[in-house]
Amino acid sequence: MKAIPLVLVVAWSYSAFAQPDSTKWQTERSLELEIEHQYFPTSGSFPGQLDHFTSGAIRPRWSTRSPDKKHQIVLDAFLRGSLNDPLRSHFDFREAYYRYNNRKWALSVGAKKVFWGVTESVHLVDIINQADQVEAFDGSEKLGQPMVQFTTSTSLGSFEFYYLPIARRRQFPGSHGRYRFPEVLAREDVPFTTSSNEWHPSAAARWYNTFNKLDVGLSYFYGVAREPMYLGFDPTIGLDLTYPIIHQIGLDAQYTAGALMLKVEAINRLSERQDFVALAIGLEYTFGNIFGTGADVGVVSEYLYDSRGVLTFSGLDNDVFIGSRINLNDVRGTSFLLGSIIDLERTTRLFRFEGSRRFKGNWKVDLLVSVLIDVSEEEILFNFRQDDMVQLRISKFL
Amino acid sequence: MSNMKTALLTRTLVVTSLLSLAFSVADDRGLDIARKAKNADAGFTSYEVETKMVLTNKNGQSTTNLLTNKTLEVKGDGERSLISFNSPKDVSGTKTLTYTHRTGDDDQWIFLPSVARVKRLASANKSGPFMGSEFAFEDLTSFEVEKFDFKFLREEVVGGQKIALVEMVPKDLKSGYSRKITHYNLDKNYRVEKVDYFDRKGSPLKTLIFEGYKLYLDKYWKADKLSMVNLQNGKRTELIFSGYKFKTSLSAKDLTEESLKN
Repeated sequence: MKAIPLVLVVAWSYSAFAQPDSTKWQTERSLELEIEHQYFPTSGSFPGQLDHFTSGAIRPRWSTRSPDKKHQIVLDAFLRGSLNDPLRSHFDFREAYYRYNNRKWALSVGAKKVFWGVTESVHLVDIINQADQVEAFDGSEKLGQPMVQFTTSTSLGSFEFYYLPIARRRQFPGSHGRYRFPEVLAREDVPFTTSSNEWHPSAAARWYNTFNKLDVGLSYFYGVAREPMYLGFDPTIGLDLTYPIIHQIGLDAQYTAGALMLKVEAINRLSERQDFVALAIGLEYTFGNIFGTGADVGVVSEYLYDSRGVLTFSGLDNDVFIGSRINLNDVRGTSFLLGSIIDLERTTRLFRFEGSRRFKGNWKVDLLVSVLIDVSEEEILFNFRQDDMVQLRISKFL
Repeated sequence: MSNMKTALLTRTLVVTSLLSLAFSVADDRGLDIARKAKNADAGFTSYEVETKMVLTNKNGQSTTNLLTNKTLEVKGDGERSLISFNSPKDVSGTKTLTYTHRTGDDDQWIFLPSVARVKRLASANKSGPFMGSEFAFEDLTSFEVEKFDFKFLREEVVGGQKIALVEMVPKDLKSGYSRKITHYNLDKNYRVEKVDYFDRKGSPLKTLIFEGYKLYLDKYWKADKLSMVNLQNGKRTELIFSGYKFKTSLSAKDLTEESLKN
């Protein structure tokens, strides 16, 4: 296992001599170095939790394509080292796959990242990859998923078929970490309901097509749930969390009419002990070149429903999201994201600000502020009630 | 008396219709030149080109972006093009796919590699800058005759070559321009030498100059360099093209939502 990063580094440096040419393999490589500091102004809910966290990340990417473009190899690795929370230090192959491209179909073997869906505040239908929970508590970062993927485009739309031999489990923060539960959960502490190891296959299929201004997708997943099933909290045994076998059907659709986009995602997830539906429906409107400044301002509003109620793992069971995305369209690629999620039944409110811009050509700075206000003690999010965060990242791209 | 009136009326009618005929001839000539220019470009099937975008601010500091552009001609509609971003490095791997339509809104998708997501975009921002450059999105989509009203202005001789100046008024109210004046070279198969852009208030906004024209496949004039100068803020953007390849193996299958993911 230790040899893998070494092989990657050797492959990466070797490719530096490759030249793009129509008769040679076309190779691309990049390296991203990042330092991050997180500050939590309020002291934690549980003993041992720290207020300051410093970490660094390295992300080498390497890809090559044959002259006839039929063969393709992609490697995308990620390593984070945390000075304060050993469980946040981790290595992952986000992607490491071989792809064969035919004219009409393609076959990929290896670890990949796959995204399904259209909405902004939640990603209900998106189910192939496990969340990298220690990287981002909101599930926006993903672990690479080993798979065999077959994709084909036909006159009836695009089809994707997946065989997923391994189910990966989430890593939760360590005892010093934030966004954790009263008990410190090792990866193995959340069990699979059917077998004791990761080798439980799952299968999935998706169809999507475009009908002029309307994009529609239908998906089906059978196998090990990516999101733990939460069935309550017992003071003696702690959180009841497991990864059950599920059937999930998903629908996503987007209608684009000029500056207006209407979006919907809906799922039905069925397991032995739980059967629920979830819905996200909303709109996005973009004001282009606002007041002649060149900036775009997008306004997003979405309604989120989940029939699990207080057992909803994300806490978003009857909530409204209102957000805005601002792109200055300047040389530095400056952008801002503002968002707020308001619980319609309880007191919980979430607020988020993201800002990013380039500097000195290949550097980038990202600021994230995340605030949780009046979190209801009925929700699983109550564990994170003290975890308001300011996060600064500085990245260098090579 | 009544006869005189009739004669006067007839004369007025004749003069008016002659005048309007003269005007419509002038208008038709503008449209005719634009059509001929569009036809001169037609039939290329597909092309691929590497683009270096150099942005210079008024203090002379510059930034360079690298893009790859693949364009496919579509019979009876606008072009389809896929732009891959290679530099700045933080957006490397980002791709956009645009289907330009002769009438109605264009379709556009973006691929964001960090989340492996393809997003369909609202076609709202035509007049905003592309990556902070002096090129607006609308300057970079394919030219479609259906999107403008034309007026022939005059013919000039520049460096011994006949240049026709045609005024174009965008039909789309979302355009950032009240009008633009395109300078067509009548001696070089209607290639564009220069475009003057006027803002919504009618003031001169930008000037685009085409340089280093080369003839490809004995038929298509392509400039090596496009220089856009903003007359109001002093900023400048140059697009430098290299490695033009025509009639490549590019097909409609290579320019789909699915193809963006690779």
